[in-house]
Amino acid sequence: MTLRVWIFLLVLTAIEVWLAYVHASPMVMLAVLLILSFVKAGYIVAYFMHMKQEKRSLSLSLFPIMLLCILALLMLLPDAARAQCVMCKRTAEAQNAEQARRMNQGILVLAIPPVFVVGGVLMRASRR
Amino acid sequence: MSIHAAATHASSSPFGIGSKKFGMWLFIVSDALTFATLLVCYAYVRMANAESWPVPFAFSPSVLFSTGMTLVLLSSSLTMVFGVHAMQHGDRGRAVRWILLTMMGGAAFVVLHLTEWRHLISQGMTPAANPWGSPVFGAAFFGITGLHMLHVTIGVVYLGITAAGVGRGRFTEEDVEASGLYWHFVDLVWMFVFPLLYLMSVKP
Repeated sequence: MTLRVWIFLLVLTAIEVWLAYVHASPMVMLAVLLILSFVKAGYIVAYFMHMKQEKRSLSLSLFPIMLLCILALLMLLPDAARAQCVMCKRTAEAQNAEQARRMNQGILVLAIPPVFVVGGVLMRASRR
Repeated sequence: MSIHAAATHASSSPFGIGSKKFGMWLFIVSDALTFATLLVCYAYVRMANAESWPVPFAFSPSVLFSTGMTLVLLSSSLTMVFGVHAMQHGDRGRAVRWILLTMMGGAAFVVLHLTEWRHLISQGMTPAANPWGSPVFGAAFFGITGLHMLHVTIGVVYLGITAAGVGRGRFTEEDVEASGLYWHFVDLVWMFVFPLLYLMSVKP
């Protein structure tokens, strides 16, 4: 079984390299490469790392939250296409330098409540 | 001791897994998120600089070397699985030999990778500039592959310590499995780095 998984992984790798030389659009290529990479990762986790033989509760505890974190990361990507968060960019462009500086300070001030909230939670948690 | 016997022995523990293995799984998830963050950063800067992002990797040597590196790492994962199996069957001698083979695979990976790096550096690529386009390209490439190479190097050292401990009869099956998990994780990260960094930057 291990050997068959290994050969399967080699075949998928060959397909990926071949794909790089097929003249597909970058978006198509990215989508296919990502799908193939996740398939490879799944087989490595299941058969090389023996996750398939572990209790289901282990993978259920590890992977859904990991997926959630990755999705949270991906939420930032659309800004790359627009080069910046639209609302802040438009507002900042409309200001002069002094107002822009004040706006930056405002953004920093807004960060203070979350810091206190998180700090408070951590202090309560560490006291136990 | 088969893996099922080990699972039964530890069935009173959470998830029916030994604490060393569980600890290693938790580390793997956190490290996977670190690499995921770096890869999303790379996607971000590449999208934001799409018009000046270079695609400089020629088939020879870049794609050839990196594909070879992928094959080497996948094969070293195979030898690691055999090492874990040997340990589960109580054969410490064979386990040590398979772990040594895995280490050789890791070392070969690092040598190939450094050779490939030298080739790119000789063409003028640095983490802050390159002759082909956006300066961020080098930062993304060297940053991600460098961190991965560091993980491989640490893995080779870790496997060496494991092999020595197994040889001396001081490490258990769980220790070998934990080191196996780390090694497969390093391979797993490469499964993403290789397509996203190399294959998406192939010279057309």
